Amino acid sequence: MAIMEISAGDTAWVLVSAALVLLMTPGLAFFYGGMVRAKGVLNMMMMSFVTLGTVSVIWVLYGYSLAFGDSWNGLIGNPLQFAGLQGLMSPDAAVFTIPSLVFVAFQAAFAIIAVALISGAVADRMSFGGWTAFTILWATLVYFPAAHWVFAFDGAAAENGGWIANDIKALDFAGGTAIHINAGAAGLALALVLGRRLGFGTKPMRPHNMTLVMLGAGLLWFGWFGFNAGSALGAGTWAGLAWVNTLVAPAAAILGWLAVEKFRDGHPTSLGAASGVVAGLVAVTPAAGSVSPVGAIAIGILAGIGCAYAVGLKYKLGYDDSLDVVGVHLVGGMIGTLAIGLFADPETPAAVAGLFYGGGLDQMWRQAVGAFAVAAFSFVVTYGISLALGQDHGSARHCCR
Amino acid sequence: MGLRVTAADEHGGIDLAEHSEAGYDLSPVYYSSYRVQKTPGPRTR
Repeated sequence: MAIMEISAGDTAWVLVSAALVLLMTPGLAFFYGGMVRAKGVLNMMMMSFVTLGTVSVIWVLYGYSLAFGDSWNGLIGNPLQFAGLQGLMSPDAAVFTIPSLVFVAFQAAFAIIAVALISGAVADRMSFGGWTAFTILWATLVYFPAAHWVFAFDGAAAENGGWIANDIKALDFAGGTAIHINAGAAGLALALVLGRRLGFGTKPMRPHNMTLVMLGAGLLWFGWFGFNAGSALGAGTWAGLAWVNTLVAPAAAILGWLAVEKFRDGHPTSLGAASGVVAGLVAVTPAAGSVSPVGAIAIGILAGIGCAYAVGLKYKLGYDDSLDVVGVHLVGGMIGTLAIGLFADPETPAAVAGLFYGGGLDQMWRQAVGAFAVAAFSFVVTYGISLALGQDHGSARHCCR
Repeated sequence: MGLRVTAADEHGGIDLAEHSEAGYDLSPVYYSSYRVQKTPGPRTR
């Protein structure tokens, strides 16, 4: 929909941001690849790379239309409206001040990374063919609807958008709900259906290459500036605020995570620093445009401490979330999404006041409804997809000590 | 379809089982895939 005149500056920034976000998926491959054992590093990285293949193709064919086509009751976009990106190549096709195709490119990178994040929950045991099929089914049945609920604003890409963005009015600046809570809940469901790795809880399964993990964390942080600041969809104050918040929240989260390790284990570790970066980035993703930099520091500390404790839950509860997708993305996403209800600052361009800024609990319940609705939807549908694909290859599971 | 590899494949390593590749070639040079073909290998009895 053409709403405003296209801005060259905004367009350039979002194009660069799209490339930055796309770099996050190879960065994730390094991050996850270093954390698995040496005998599974290639498959771990391949899970991210094949996701680049599958999701990019279906995004163009029907994914964008499902996510951003005209809404059916706020639940799903019209799959035929933009199928094959028809109608979006006209110079008049625009989303706010950028061409529609630039918005397509930016959101494509989001869809890819959302799916790839799940792979960390099922490291070392999920078949490559099964994963490839899963990426297509999950993107179609879970991500595209959730992205529609959260990202599709009335009058932006189409006349009518999703129910969380327009009816509930929960704030999710760059995808804390649609991407991180969504992927985290899906990772939990998939890990439960798949079962634990052989030797989980009895044999050490340490990261085989921490230098890859640190490289991956660095690439993720770099790309995340496009993820968050690009979500302003313009080159202005809002992008600047998101950029600064994307700097300070993970910075604070590193300190929070390392403090927990020092207090609990006696040693601050490189894995803790890298995980702290990601936890802070995840938590500030929904909040980057609605909290002040001081609020972002508070959110980063909460995420660093909260996620450092949350990653230990899998041992207590017995599920094998191999690379802590649940502990970092589900928990970190929840912390960031709910913290908006506390720290939202009316002086930011979002102009919403949280509890600490005199807004009461009005924004908090909106955040909670959005977050838990997406988490429940993602968990249930992912569980169903996983069961439908079949848990086992059919071979004996007891051949090896 | 089956989402999970067999226990034997999981035990032996999913890289070899699913892709017939290994992330690292740490074998001695004579057995390495990077060995120059003209270089003679070690004699065996």
